[in-house]
Amino acid sequence: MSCQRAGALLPLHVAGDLPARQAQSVARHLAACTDCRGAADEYAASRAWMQTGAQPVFTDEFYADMRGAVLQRIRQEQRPAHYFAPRRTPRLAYVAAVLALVSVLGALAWRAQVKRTSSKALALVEQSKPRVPSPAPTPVNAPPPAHSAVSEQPHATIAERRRPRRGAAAVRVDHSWPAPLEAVARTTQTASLPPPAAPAEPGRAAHGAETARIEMQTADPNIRIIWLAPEPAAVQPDRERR
Amino acid sequence: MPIEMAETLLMTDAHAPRADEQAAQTGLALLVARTRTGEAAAFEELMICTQHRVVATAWRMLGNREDARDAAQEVYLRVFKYLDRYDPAQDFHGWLYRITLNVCRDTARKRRGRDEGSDWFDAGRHERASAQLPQTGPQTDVEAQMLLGQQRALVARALQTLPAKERAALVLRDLEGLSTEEVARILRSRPVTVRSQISSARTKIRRYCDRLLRKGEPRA
Repeated sequence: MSCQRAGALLPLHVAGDLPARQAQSVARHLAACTDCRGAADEYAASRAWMQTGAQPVFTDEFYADMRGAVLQRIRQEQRPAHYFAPRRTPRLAYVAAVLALVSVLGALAWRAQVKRTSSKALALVEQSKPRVPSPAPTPVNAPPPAHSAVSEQPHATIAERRRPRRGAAAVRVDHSWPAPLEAVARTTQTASLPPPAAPAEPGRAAHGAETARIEMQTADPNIRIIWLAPEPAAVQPDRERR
Repeated sequence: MPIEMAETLLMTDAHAPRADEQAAQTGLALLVARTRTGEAAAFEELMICTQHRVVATAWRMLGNREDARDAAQEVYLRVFKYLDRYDPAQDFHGWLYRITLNVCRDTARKRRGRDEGSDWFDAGRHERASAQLPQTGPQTDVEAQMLLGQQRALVARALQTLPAKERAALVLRDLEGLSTEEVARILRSRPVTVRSQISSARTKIRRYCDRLLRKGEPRA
């Protein structure tokens, strides 16, 4: 065995950590090599020095204090919590946090949905409003001014009414109306009146002369309230005058 | 009664002869079984039986009395908390050493942020602590106590220069007297790896001593 090989095994040899075969080889080398024997003595001395100096010095009071502190902490942890004290249950906290998050997200989604519905209703109102008559005087023989799309197509579906129309840019938006529901009712009441100068069909003319069609658009675009009521008397002379 | 029984079972500690090991294990198994039933006195006896190992290991690993005391408290809290998970078929001391090393690792990690100096350098504290112990034998004079205190400080400083894994292997093998296989089981490693770590640690300690003796003061 070379000195280099023996030197690598010496740290394990001094404490008997080598297998028997290697230990015998190292022992034979140490018996013949003075330098390696000196190195082995140094290992043994440093190990003994460490074992002597690494003995802790602790008094009985130190151990008693340590045990007392442990038992006190165990008693504190085993003490039942106060009824009103907050429970430190992480699982419940997680569930509560998730529920709160879901609630907040649901509220935000509901609010966005309501806002979208309101804007659609407002757009419907703007489309169904009668066009503002031009300030220029209308000639007597001229055809009557075109009414709103709703009046031209009284039986149009809701989807058709929701669709933006090309001529809708000319409609003036009146933002002073307080609520979409009321605005729709007023607008549709006006718009559902038949055009005064149009050649009315016999059945429709008789029906239009007796009742007024009042449509109310609710916040839900799929729900519409249609009310057929007797036409007020004040409207009749006005229509006849036109 | 607990103290008497603990004194009897103190033979389980580091200086216990091998012949009594079987009886000690039986006593420990009884204490563990009683502690599992919720008997507080049995747990205190268990602490008395094992406190020297736990505190010494923590002190050697951490190099600080206060940290060693805190670590020992945490070790016994974990023992009390997780005693149900302990398998009676395995060695209780090995289980205890593993908890101790884990707590020491956590404590060292926390202490790294604090950047607090250890009392490895405070040889006077060791001397004062030594003076409180009952003096026996030839080391009764003050000079011998001072020399021993300085030696403790130097050894502790030498241990602190080692990497944590090498220090753990060396402490368990050379200072706690466990076999290489036991150390490997505690560290959840292979015996070959433990031998390599121990060899490296012994070489570093020897070099430290060499510098200390020849030059007076070792290089950092």
